[in-house]
Amino acid sequence: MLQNRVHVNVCVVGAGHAGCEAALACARLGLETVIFTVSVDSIALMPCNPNVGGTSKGHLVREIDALGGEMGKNIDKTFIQSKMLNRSKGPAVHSLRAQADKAEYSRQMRKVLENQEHLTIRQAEVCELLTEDYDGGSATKKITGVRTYTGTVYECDAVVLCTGTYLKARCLCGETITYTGPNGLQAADHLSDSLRDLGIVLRRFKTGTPARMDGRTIDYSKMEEQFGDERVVPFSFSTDPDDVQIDQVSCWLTYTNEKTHEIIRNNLDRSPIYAGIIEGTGPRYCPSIEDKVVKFADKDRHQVFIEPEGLHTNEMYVGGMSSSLPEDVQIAMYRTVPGLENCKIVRNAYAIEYDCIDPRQLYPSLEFKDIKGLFSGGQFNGSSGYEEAAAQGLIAGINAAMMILGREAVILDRSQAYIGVLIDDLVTKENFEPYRMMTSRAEYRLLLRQDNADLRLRGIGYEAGLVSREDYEAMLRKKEAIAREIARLKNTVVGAAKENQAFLAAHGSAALKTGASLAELICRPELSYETLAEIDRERTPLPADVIEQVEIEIKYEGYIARQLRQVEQFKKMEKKRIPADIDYNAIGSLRLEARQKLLSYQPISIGQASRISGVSPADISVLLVYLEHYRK
Amino acid sequence: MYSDKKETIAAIATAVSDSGIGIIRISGDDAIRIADKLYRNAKGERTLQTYGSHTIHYGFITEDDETVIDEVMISVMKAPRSYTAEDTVEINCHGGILMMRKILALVLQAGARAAEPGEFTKRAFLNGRIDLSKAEAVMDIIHAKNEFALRSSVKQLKGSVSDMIKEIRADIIHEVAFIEAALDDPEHFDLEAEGYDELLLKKIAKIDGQIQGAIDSAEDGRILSEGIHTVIVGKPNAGKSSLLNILVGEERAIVTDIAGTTRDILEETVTIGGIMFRILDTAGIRSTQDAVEKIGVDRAKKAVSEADLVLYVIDSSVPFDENDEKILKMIEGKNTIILLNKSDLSPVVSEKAIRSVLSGREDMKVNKIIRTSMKDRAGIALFIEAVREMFFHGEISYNDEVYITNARHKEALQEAHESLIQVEKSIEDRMPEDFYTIDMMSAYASLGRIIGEEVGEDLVNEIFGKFCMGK
Repeated sequence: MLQNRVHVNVCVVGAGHAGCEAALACARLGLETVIFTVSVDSIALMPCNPNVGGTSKGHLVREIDALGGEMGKNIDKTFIQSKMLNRSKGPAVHSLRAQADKAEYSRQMRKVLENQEHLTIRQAEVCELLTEDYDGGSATKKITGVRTYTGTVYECDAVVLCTGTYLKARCLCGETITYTGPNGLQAADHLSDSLRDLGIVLRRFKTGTPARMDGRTIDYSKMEEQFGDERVVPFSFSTDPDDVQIDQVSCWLTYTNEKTHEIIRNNLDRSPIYAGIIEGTGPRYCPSIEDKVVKFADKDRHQVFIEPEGLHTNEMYVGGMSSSLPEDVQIAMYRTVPGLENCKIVRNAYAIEYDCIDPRQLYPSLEFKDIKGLFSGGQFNGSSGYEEAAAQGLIAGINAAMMILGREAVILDRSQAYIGVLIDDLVTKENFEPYRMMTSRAEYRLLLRQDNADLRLRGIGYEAGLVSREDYEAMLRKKEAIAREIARLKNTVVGAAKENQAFLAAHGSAALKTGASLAELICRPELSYETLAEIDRERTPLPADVIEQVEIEIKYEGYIARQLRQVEQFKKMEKKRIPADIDYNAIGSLRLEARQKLLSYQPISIGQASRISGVSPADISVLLVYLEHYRK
Repeated sequence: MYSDKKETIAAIATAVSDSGIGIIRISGDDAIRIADKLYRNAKGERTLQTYGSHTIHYGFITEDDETVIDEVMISVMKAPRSYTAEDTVEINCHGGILMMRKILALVLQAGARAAEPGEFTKRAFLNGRIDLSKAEAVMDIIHAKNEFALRSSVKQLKGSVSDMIKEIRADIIHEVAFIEAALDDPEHFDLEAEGYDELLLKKIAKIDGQIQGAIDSAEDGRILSEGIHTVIVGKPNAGKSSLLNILVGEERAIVTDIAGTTRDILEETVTIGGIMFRILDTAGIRSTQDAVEKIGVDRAKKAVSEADLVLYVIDSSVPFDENDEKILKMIEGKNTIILLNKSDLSPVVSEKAIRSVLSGREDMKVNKIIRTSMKDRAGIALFIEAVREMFFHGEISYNDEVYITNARHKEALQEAHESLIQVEKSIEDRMPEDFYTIDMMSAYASLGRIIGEEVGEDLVNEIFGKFCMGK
């Protein structure tokens, strides 16, 4: 039998949001890359909600963009409504969220992939990873290639697994079970066994999606209309804001009621979750409507968002009502909701169950500790969400490339990016459900704002080779302009002259006794950079994004300074690296629990070690002493 | 999370010693500056910063620049020629517990932080002061001291205090979760509509009041039940309660008196010759069918299992019986002093008889047998001498870590208080809600340190547990 053999640098398994970022990163760094998908038509598919961004997820998209990823650019080209959430709150929790035209999003991303040099798209199911024995650090095996179900061997130096929800997937709609991936697509049934043979520990997670309705059967007059922002802010730092001021579509808000809840309660025995058919663990933040009704029995209604799936379809997404109840119950339940009385379902709601890994098998570089050259990202790592997936895919792709190029891995820490928090949480903490990003997970969130992602991360993207010199230098100029303006505002003192007092009085602000700097005035809650224009005569016009930074840094200076001090402490521990060949068994004074945890986690730094539950400050002290001893 | 903030550390460096001298050690860049705030020479002048390395001086520790707290000898050792290789000041003060604790509190107030268990040794090692070949020993010390501190700090915290802290933490995390849920799902929860700020301000003020109360209690040591954990056992009417009354009355140095958690265990804290004892009197041990009495016996057993020292009172005027056998079984392996009481009556149980009973039992650790008469107070002086001897010979130990536990707790309370002040300020300054939670979480973490609980996933769990999130 002839065997087809192909040699490339990197194989990316899966072409969802993680796979696309991983493949683009590798190809853009000049490595010959193949991206595998069970269906070329499902590249960058959005099988669940039609949004990109949202609280904390918007931060991730901004960070992906700053590092040179594609998601931000792609949604800027394909959004149909956009909103900055939490505008009335602090800048740290402002979050962009856009409604996507799903089909357009997918098509645009496919176009980017198809036109990317060094990148090949291949419709095939990868069924086996090929490895050889290896001895280096914690790894005992090394990737040599993959085999597809149709028999071709792709030899390569690195594999990035981004299999999403496809591994041994099954979809449940009441008593009906289909063995498919999302949206009826073919599941990947063969790779799991190969992963197990390599010693990778798999587990089962589940998630769900609501029904899609025929928009012609919805009565919008019974719902509240929800508009996009008047002035749209783009996701990408490279997108010209003027290019995204488009005509936007509306979303609609309605509510469930007691009748809805009664139907659900009466049919709980037919839910595969409550009947015990589903074994996987579902996410608490995106509960099915059954879960909401059972766990929050005291609430008499729940929100339902009706959102368009695109401009060229009348399908509408029913946000807030995901379910795995049987079809007959679904239709009855949806029809109790005001505006949905006569609705027709286009696609049923369903729950999906799939194989994924416990991500504690990974280093923060997203490489497997045991298998050199094997990386992974996205839902396969036990996360949830398009943005979380894309962020990991990007980092996994960059690090696969860095490994091949013999360069140092790109690891973002918790003080640098939400991406750092996301990956650190995944590889360091025990997760019992698909992991979703939240702003409250970021302890330094005041520093990790969506508005300064470029200032934080462009340099790292440039170093890695994914950000152009032009974009990098634009960021440097912006940084300089911000610093210059802050210095000017701090050094410009306003006296107690009559016109100044009149200005303050007009804005309900206390009169000046002596001189104050413009910066001090900006700190007053009732004043802003904009209002001060009247008495700030030497001001030269500056771009809006520079003014935004100046204002935030001045207004919240005290809080920012405190977080910076905390970060300084944090960094000290992060910088203390633990060698990969450390023998924890040789450290007698570690408590047993700590030793077991350290052995299984293999933390890369003292900082990471200190975040493992079961490792006490005393164990960290012991470890510090040991490392000092070891170093000499 | 592990942190090195406030580099200068302080602790009581001596266990209680026979000499009556205690040492407070301060180490770090600011050690001299901090001690200088408190020390005055014989003429009342502030001179510490002028002293050379490795010199020792007579003077006073003062509070608020005037009140003299104690007469001391103070020594200055400059980096790198000190135990830790950092600037180090040692205050040699009078050895009583209260005095040492007072001076330590002043030092912490002046800007040092309470040392972690084993931290002086750790610093000595990390600064190259201790030979690398001794790394193992250093790790063992850190390990042992931490294990002890961990056991003692939670064990010694008074139940009422730990209950209060748990309650406060639950309140804080609930409010944080409410705010965070609203920030995470802004289309679902609306903070502005409900006048939430004012409500929160009231809640924070109330919580802060409770914390300040706890800080005051910590100042005079009322949040911990300190001392060598001592349990009095014996048959009914052997003279147990009389012993306790004598010890309490004899010294007239009761630090606190706490009604026991149960009506059949009475607890007293007493200092005897500079050593602090936490003494529990238990119900008399005898076979009984009475349910209430049975519970008393079970509690006595539990108390003994946690004790550092057992005082076994035997009525020498009644014969040894199966109840005594039971008691012997119960106190196996425990440091024990046997008091052969009622020596004023004609004895049926002699010291010799006891010794012969004990001779067959290798698992007993009876250090001393003393003949007493509680009625005439005979033998009490001998008993006190025996206890002191055991202590200073290290047969019963009381680690210096315990003294500093209180200081660490107070420091954590203080931090929580400061965080809450910051929250109040943020609310009054009309900052957005996301700024409140930063400091509320800091307070939550500080309080967690007292009861040995980490933050972990508490917030995320609270958000999902209490609020219906997500689309």
